[in-house]
Amino acid sequence: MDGVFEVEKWKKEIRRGVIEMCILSLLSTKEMYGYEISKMLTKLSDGILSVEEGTLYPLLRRLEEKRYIKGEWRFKEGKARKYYNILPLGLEVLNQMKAFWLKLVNAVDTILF
Amino acid sequence: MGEEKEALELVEEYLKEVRSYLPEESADDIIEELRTHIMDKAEEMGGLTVKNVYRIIKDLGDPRELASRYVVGGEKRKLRFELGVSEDIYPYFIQMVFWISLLLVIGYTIKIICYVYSAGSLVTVFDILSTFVNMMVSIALTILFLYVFMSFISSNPDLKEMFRSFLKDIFGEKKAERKEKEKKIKSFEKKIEEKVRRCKSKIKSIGTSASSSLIGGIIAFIVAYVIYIYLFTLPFNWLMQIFILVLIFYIIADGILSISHFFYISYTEKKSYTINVVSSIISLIFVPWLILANIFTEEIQIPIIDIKIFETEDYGNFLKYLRVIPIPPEYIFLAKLLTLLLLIVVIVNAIIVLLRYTRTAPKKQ
Repeated sequence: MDGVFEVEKWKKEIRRGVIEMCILSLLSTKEMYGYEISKMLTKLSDGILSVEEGTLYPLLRRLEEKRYIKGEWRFKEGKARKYYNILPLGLEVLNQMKAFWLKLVNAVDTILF
Repeated sequence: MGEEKEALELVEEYLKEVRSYLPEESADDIIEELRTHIMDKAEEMGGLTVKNVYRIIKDLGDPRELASRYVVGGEKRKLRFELGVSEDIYPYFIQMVFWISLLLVIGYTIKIICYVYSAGSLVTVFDILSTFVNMMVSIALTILFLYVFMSFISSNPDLKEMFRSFLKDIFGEKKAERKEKEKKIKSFEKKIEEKVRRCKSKIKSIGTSASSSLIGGIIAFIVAYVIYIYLFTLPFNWLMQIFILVLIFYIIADGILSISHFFYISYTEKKSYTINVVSSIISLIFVPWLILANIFTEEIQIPIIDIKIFETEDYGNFLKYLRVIPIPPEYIFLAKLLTLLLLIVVIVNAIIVLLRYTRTAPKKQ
């Protein structure tokens, strides 16, 4: 039982590490609001990267504070929502993350398979 | 429409709670975003109903916890204090109380054994009682201190995060977290079954009852200790000594019941009527003494403060100015009447509480 628990914990940590990169990647394609990001993450990753809303919104705020993204209140589809856009610094960070991610996946693949 | 209004009230109540833990400068923006999220998700789930809102709120998590995620590593905020240990660190609080109480019990037991061994037949039941009362006071003060301390930690999300990671190392993350999750799931299922909208207002009153039970219990131990220390040193006769013993027993029993009630409420989120019944039944221990006092009324003694203390101004040592005098003859009739009246009140109260319990307890619980 402890082994299963440890694996779950490990998965959670891995997810936590990549979620930031995935959010930046989503926002590099188009502007989105919080709930939309949450749905897209779930949909595109088949649920593997679904993130709890209680974690997502504070994470978006932290990315905003780091100046990676910018949130703006807009009135769209009859509703006021906070839409997020990626900033140049965010884009730069995303590119670095992507480059490292490719190296990491290749290296891990080489070891595992 | 009525349900939508209740659902909206639930949303606002939740957001208000989250806001109270957020820094002023960013609260409006965060709350507005959370509000639009709840509305969007509710709409997608089929409408703004209490059940849907409750599910969304459940996903967002405990208000303090959610706010702490915004605050940790972010803006600095003022320290605040609110009585009550939050659910996520409650298992740690219980573990700390358990281990410290166990240590105190072991320590005091060793003390009693050593005392009996060294003093032999000179040890009286009062000496052992004194050590026992000391132990109970120590445990009560420990619980009080831990409760206040953990309340302070709970009130400050950033401190709580730091404290949690520290506690995880000491008490182990798995067990406490698993317990916490099981508890959360259980309580969620129950709340849904019992119609969530009524729970919110009840939880507040239950929280207050839990705190008052704990504080009441601790005060009871302290009062019992003070009575023991001061009143037993006075030259009371047999009737009054019996009274003090009965009084100390009653206060300690009531204190134990109050603290049990606190733990019961904390675990089940329900008040226990059974504990009230037991308390009323325990009060019946005054009956034999009241009968004795009614028969031997002239034996009743009254402690008085000698007026000399005001001349010497030695207030610190007021104990030596305490005198015990027999009840004045003109008050004997009044005292007989009073003891009789109290006797009736105690018995009638116990009967009423017991009858109410047998007739309505299942509904109340």
